[in-house]
Amino acid sequence: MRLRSLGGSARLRRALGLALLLTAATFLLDTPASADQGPGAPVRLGAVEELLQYLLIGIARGAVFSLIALGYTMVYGIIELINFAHGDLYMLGAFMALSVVACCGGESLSGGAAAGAIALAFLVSTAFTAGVNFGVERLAYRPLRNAPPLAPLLTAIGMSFIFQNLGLFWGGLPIAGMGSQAAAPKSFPDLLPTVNLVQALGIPSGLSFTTKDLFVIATAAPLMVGLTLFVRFTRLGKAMRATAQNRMAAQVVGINADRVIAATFLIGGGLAGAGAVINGLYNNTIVFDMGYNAGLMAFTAAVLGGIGSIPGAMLGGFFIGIVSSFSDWQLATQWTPAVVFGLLILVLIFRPQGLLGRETGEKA
Amino acid sequence: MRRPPIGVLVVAAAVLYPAVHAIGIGPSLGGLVTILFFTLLAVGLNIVVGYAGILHLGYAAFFGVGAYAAGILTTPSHPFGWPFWLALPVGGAAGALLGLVFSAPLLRLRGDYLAIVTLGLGEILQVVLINLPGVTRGNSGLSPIGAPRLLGYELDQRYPAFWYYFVLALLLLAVAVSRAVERSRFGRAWVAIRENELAADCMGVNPVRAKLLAFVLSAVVAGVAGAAYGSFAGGLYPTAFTFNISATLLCMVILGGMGNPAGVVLGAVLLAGFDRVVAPFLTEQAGRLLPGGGGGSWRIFLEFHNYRFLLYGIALVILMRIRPQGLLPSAEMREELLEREEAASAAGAPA
Amino acid sequence: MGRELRRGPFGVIALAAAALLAGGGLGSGCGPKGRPGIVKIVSSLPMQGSSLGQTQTIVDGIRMAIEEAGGKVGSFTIEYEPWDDASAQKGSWDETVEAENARRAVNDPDVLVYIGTFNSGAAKVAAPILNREGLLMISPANTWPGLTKPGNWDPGEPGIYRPSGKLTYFRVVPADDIQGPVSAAWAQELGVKSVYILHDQETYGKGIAEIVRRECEKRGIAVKGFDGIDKKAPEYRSLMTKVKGTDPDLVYFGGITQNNAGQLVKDMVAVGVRAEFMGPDGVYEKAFIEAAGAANANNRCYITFGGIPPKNLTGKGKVFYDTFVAKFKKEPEGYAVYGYEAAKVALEAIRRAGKEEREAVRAGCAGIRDFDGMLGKWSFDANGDTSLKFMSCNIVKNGELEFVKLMTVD
Repeated sequence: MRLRSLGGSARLRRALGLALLLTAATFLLDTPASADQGPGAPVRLGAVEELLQYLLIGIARGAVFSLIALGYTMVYGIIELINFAHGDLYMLGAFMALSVVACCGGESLSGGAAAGAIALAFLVSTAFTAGVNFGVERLAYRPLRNAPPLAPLLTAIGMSFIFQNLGLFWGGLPIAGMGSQAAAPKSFPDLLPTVNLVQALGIPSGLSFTTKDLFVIATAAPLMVGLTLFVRFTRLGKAMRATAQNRMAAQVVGINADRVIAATFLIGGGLAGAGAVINGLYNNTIVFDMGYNAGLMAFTAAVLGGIGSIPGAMLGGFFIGIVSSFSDWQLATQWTPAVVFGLLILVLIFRPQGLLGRETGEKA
Repeated sequence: MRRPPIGVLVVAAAVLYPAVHAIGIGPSLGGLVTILFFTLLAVGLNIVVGYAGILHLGYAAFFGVGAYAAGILTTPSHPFGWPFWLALPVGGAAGALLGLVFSAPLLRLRGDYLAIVTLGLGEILQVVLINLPGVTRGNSGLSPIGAPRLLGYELDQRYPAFWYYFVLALLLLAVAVSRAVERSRFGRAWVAIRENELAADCMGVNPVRAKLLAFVLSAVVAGVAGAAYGSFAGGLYPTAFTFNISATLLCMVILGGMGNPAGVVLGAVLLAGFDRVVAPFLTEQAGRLLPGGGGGSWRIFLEFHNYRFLLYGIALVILMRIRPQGLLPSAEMREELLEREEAASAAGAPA
Repeated sequence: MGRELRRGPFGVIALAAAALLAGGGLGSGCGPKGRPGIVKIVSSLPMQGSSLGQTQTIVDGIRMAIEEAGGKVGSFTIEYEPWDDASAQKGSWDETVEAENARRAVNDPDVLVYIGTFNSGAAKVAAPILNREGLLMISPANTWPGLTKPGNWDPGEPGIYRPSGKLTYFRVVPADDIQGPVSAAWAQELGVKSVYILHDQETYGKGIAEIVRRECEKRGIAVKGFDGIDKKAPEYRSLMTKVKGTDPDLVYFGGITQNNAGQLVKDMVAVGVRAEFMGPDGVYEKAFIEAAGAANANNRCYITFGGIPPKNLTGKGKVFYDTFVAKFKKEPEGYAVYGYEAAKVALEAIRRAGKEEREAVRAGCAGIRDFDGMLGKWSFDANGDTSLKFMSCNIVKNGELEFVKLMTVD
């Protein structure tokens, strides 16, 4: 592939490998005797423990937002396109992952077979969303490179409609995992062991932090770290940053902007696919219109962190995860979207460039 | 050379349509009123997106605020009981007020940061509408909404002909105001900001004030449209003011040709017409071909209505590829496009 | 072109006035006569977006009822058209489309019955329009009590839906003022002492949740919390952690499958809430169990439904069940029965009328007594409600809905 000639994908592959390794590791913790959901009154949490509990929930939630936000922010950073279809691409990734897992045996899988199915889902789903994003860029966005700035935005909205409709159709396919109604939410098999690590490690507390929570963080973190290192140190990464800063100047110094942009879509798409698998395994529900909310939260995370900034997107994702968790707890989930957006507006009033964004001049 | 007066012909055709429809030809007036509402909103959105160059993703919020302000004042569920004609300008004022309060601290934000803030505003309004049932009745809907009284008639939705002309008149007014402002000092300021905000600022154009005017003006259009919409629809439901609506309106503006009201009208009529007239018609025709019932979840593949979003999306993508500047771009837009292409070819980019 | 447009409005005002008179006059004046021998039934349901599953099922039920009758009632040929009241812009039911459907039905002299709506909000829009013209409307799914029953609902209800004073709106499903009390009574029977109530913030979900709250309080069941959920959220771990802290015996969810009911059950399990789960007929479907995951839902989810579950029907109902399974290769779900029942009622009303006249059909429907339907033997009462006062209580076992018993409250 072309990407390899630019170098640097080795690091990404290593990061992916690490993620898979950690996934496998979580299975080793699966001890059969540790069913922790027996009836009986729950242990009361102390005030600090309670705070910690919602913080943990927020971190796991934020990890998923972050992964999607990364794809947003990369694409935005490089061609200043708000890719409205990104959330729906993530949704398609989730359907692909469900199809793979369900075809492998779904709910009945366990142990090594489950780990294998998960690894396969990661591979297929990531490759699928990366490929789709790459193809869409080639066919729909690239011809609009010199078009008025809002033309690609409209194309993105159009792609979002197309993806959503395809998701609906996917749900209606007579294949494993899709259930009886096309439009209804689908259950993603619960393949991860749920062991409360706090109890398993013998910590005397009513806190809950399960292997599933660990899985989310343990798979998302290496992807994020890998991406950061990739963009910072590899040639392609540097080319990306150069193109993001000034496409014309980058071209003048011999960077093939088209190729860099294509690589950005490829990687951003792949991250959406990985995020979709992680979300599927963690939350166990997917539905054809899930992309809207996921995309919205990710977009918000990207802007909050400073759009175009990779660490910013991650920070934004975790920030929103934690804020929404606290809001669910202290207010009610019905107010949470308002709290998240209200905070976004407040942050932008005081830091117009986002949390980690840098003040830059207007681009040409 | 003088071109044929297409504008006048279009207006005349629109005005005469009900008479034609009365002998049983063409889509119903009630359906067309909804299309006119979308067109009116798109023309309003064009002021901020097309003229001032601000990406606005929460226009439905201003539409909603106008609608609920007027709705609360006229509905019998609340103790005000104002007549529609008084509530209509209040709807516009409510839109303007929200525009003012909201944009004053935020207009200094750059481009897409402002975009997401507008999007956030839309989401917040949605949550507020749903979660304050005491005021808005939440998802149960605020209904009924007071109808306009004219010559002793209670002109509710049973009189689509009235609504057709009423909204058409609002639309023509909005187009006329758009045109007038475009040619004014502010119109020129908007062009300057769009081209280069920094340079415009240096040349003595106050970008914040110019943007504020665009924002508030478009908010007034949305507010008035909202006030009228509630009365026409007979009830207000938060789902009428979601991001979907904002996105659809934005599509209409971009597709039609930003900055050119005539283009925006064309874009709006095409997109809303597809959804309200063409798609339902095709759905019914396709439904006739389908044998009665049967099948499992794969049935969705056989029914036309399940392809609506797909076709809509494909149409947007293809149209943007063929005419990225929109169907009827404004003169400035054509020039800007030309400049971009020249700049691109100067930099040696592959075409 | 701009110059012309600017001048345009002034030039056309006179034309506008003329056409207004012409259009208005012609539009309301000469109504064409219907085709003799043809009776049209239309349904107005959201055929896009997340409700698609249920509405498709309703349409299947309606089609089946009409086909069973051979497409005829007496000498009349029945035509059926399923209309969509959703718009792509909203992705759900749309008040302007619903109103347009109602106007269209009113203006089409062949239409004698309007089956719909799915959402109670949509019924609020359509009912007054149809009522003014005396067109019969039968809902297979609306459960908001205020649509028919006098009482302390929204201001002006139900009179505002009957501007002509006549009864034109009927429903074959028991309203929530029956389902709510039954749910509370059943919960008490199950030994529930405390409940945490959630809802999806929709008319239906919130409406029933509020009734359940009131009934629980009446029965001395402690209500530990009452929250709306963000139906688009990917998960509810925080919420469920909060619920777990209050340690209720039962979590009641007022809402439908498509508003994330399944995820709530999943997160109850994920977080370790020990409570049982109860929901209304909006989750009485296989898709709910699929969404929640059978392993999570089994022996834990209690679901009420307005009538006898299709599987447990006897006599006529058994025939319906078998035919449906044979024809559609799937189990008829709650909404299929409701749709089928609504269409049966429509056909019966036309039969009773014996002529192609809206008033006769309306009166025919109002006069239906001891109707031997799929849901049992029932009559329409003075409000247009079914006299069925019992709900079936069901529990999820082995990934299926299992009928427990019938229940009623006075």
